[in-house]
Amino acid sequence: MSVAPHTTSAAPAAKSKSRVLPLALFTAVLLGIPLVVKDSFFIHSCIVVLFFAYMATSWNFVCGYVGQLSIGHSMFAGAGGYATVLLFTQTGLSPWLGLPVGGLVAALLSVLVGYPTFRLKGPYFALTTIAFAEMIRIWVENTDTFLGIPLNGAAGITVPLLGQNVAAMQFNDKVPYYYIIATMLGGALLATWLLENAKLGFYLKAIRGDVDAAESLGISPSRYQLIALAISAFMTGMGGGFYAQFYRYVNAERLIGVDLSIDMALMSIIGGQGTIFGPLLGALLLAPLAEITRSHLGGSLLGLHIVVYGVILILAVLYLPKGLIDPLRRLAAKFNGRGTGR
Amino acid sequence: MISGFTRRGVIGTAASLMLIGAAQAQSEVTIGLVLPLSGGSAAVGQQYRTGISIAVDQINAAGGIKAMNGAKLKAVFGDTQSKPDVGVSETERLITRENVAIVGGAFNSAVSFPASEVAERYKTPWVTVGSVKDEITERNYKYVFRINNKATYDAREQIDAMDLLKKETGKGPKTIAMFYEGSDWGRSHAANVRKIAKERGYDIVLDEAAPPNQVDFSAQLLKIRASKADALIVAFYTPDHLLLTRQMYEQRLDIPYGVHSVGGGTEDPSFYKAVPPQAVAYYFVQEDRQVDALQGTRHPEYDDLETKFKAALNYDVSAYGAQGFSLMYVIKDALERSASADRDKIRDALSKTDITSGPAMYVGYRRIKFDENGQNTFANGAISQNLGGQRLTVWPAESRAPTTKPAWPVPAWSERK
Repeated sequence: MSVAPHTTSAAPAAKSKSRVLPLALFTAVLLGIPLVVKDSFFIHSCIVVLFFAYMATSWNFVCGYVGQLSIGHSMFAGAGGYATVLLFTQTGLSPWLGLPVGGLVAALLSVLVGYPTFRLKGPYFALTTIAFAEMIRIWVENTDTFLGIPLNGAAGITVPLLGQNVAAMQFNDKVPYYYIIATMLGGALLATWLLENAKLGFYLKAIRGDVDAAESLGISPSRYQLIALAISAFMTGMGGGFYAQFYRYVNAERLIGVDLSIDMALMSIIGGQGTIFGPLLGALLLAPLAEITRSHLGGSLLGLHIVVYGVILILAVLYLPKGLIDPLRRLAAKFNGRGTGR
Repeated sequence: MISGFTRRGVIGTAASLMLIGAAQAQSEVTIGLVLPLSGGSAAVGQQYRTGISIAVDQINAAGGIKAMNGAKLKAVFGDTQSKPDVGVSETERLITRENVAIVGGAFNSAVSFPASEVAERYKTPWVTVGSVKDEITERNYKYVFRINNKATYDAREQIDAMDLLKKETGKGPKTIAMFYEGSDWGRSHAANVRKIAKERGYDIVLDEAAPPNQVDFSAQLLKIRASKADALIVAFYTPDHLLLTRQMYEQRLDIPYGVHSVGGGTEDPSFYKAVPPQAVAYYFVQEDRQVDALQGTRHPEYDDLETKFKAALNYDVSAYGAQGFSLMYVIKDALERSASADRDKIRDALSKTDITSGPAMYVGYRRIKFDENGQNTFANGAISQNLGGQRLTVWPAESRAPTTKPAWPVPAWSERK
């Protein structure tokens, strides 16, 4: 894998300056949308987009930087989602605390799963992650109670409807959910930015480049990959908790199913994995695309929206193998080059 | 040049269409339908959609809603992809964007459950279509209705049929094996069978769930053979049911008192096109409606439905097609009484529904009347047996044709031609 030249450019100050403006603009738009738009379905769709952006960013945190393809990340979403809901229904723990606790449960699971699997590479790793996630899904679907915990099998668990209740993270309006997921997305992006600039990030990139070379330099691949995986799983688990609160319903087929894992991976890869904003970009494009094709074509020509979605994916992978972020970055580099060169 | 011209043409057409739409808006009642139009349950979604569209055309051709100056019905569809979150999004869209007066959906219980909550929150009537999960109409919701039966009813009818045949012949099963798909529907059905079978004194000798989309059932068939069960109760969707039926046929697995399927695959006409008739001979099927004879009067609408349905999908009307068809007539009935597209008025009208005749009865229920939880307590199915290549009703006894002679116990494979 070759490293793009601009990432090693010697002008971090100029680079960060050129990023501040679009970033501030993006943040302003993001925070301003609910103030301007009052349409409930639009806000709902925005929440769906932000949710997927958050999930893809969480996936990218480990997979994008280590260069391993996990198609089992939904098991972390499921762990977090189920933990949040069960803590609330069984012990009355507020989801505000339940979300991070759910994240910790997911992180714990990730260490158990990651320890044996991160030694594998390429398709073997991908297949093993699928196998683990499917094992967990099938187990949950077939388990009504486990050690007294009502998993409720395939029927899934409902979060009791309490109406407007801030402590229970339930709101009649959608706007609070919007700000919650926007904040979570901001946190995930910040974490990724910190990673890029921390030793861990460099270690991960070194591992991605050449595991043997990295190991010979004294970097323990399994250790750092596990740390990154645990952080990624923590964030994914919190995302699962958010899903549970927003839809007030979790079931194994969806939240632990392979579809969700594929969505997370796909959005990162299409957007540009191993970059801070790539997954966000992928989600900003793919999630609305799925919504629009479905709402415009889904009811009339059966299945056509999935075909259209698939064709766009194929085109993206064929013509932008490094992700959508690649042409944008080149464009930005061109502008920067002009700005600093003269 | 050409592309510019075309684009303008398209915009022009779109604009004029919108104008027409606006002009007609007042004399139209929009009905939202969230169904699995793609993915694993797409064939079922398609059957609902066909039944619904035919009913809408009939109602509109017959002058629309008379109490609303002949307002026409308009069905708007949303695709759930069988995913709960997508179903929620589509319900949200239909209610807030398409401004539908009423929503129907969503076949998969896992989708209907959270999506109906959205409807309840927006105070929009929701008529559950196809989903049998008991809890859907056990939440004290005001806007949620269900015309079809609950999961418990299905299980009860299967055991009722066994009891009836036992009473008539003095012979019957003592032990039952259960084999079902491992998701929501199969598992909740199994739980109900377990409970009712125990009450009626049957022994469950095998209780086996299978994950969906298996490629081989050999191991489970061995278990069934080893259990020596007198009867087998199965619950599978079409793809799994096809595999199971083919393998049971190949292995000539004898079950003295037959295979009792709770529908799913065995109610899907496409299933019967994919298996040889010998493979499904003597199958008992818990049908959502009577397939061989419809009780009561024959309406001209039925003939129209049956012709058009066959023309569209190339097979006879399925239970799902019938449910979709009936749903629109139930909604029409409510609209005639509410005389308004106001959601609350429709809800009130729906809650006072009491239909005993007319096209809505195509589903073959005794009556359509909702209890305080919105459940139609008169929804009953029928148990058919596959005799001479036809599914003939054997239960309830009063619906059985005099010419129908149930095969009980069923002949062993070696005795069949």
